[in-house]
Amino acid sequence: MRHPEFEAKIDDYLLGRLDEEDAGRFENHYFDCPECFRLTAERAALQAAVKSAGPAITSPGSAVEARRDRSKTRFAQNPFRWAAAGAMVLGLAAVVLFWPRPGPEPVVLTRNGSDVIRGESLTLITPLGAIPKAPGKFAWNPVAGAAEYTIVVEGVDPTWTVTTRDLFIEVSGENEARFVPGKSYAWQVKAFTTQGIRLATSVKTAFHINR
Amino acid sequence: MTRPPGDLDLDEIAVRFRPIIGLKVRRALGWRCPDWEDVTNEVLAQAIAKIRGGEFRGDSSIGTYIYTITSRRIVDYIRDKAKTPYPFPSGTDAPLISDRFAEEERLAELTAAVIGLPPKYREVLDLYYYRELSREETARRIGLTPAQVSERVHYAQKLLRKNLRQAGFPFLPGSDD
Repeated sequence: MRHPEFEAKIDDYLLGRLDEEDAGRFENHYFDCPECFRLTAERAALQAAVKSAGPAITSPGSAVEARRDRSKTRFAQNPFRWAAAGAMVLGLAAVVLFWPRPGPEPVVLTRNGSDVIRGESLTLITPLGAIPKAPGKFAWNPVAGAAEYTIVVEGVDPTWTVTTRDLFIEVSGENEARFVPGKSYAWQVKAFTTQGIRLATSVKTAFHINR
Repeated sequence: MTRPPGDLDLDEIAVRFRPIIGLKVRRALGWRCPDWEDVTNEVLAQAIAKIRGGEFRGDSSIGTYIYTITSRRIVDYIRDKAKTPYPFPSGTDAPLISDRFAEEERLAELTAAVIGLPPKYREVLDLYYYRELSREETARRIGLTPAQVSERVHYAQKLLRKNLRQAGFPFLPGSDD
């Protein structure tokens, strides 16, 4: 059974463009719908292959032709068979998206406030969800090659923007007072190289301070 | 769909939900996180134990039940990690060499198939997936509507599936495309 309204969101889900609530609904759906999960896993594999192809996807050259010829032979003579459905898809997506590899240069992204352009994903650690009091720090996982990170916290007035070379910022003093019990906030982190090239952008994530 | 708890095949549940749980876990924790497989196994083990122990009463679908367990475990994992927010030492996130080799072989096959697509499909895939432009920006750059961009991606996927099937190579491992 097809679910067009779900299928329309597959790309946004995989590219981290859905907000938390929508992403949660999306995930809940594919936990119940094998066909929609299959489409999502297939699309993830397609994205991984496109990223692996890199700039060569629009200008197939000698290196690409050689690789294609080699793979055509492999297709005809030695098709792979795998035991676990989905496990290799996830693995290959991880390899191509987040593993150092030879081949085409990684996508070079420019610092542009209006574009949401991503390379790797950037995972936020804390604060997440409902928390008992104002966060003591904002922390995230590193991105390979990043020299600095810019964090934007929304919901405070004015919006709080900090650039740091660390993987966290501490909240103290007057900044701590900006977080009020009973309110929700959202934050997002972007990673940049020393030249100001954006490498990754996290999903914008919300948290709520309990009363 | 909701099924009576007594009618559940636990082996079938394990096989069916492992990749589904894995996708959600990896997306939540980051694809580089080396703990994803452990977290996935923990979720599956917990879900099976709860079902076997009669805790699943069929009030929701089995998918929703397992989704809830997965979400909670992810939150717990992230909270635990927040106590030590520094990254793993480099080199500890390497998959098994044999897995990596197999994954790379698999990826090479798919990549070659993508590069073999007609130019109009490759153009859209480049803008939409490689450069990660929005659907609207992709459409603007190549003179299509956003709906046409989605259609072209969809047909690229269909064509890829067909080409791979003709080569005796399923799009997804374990599928019978």
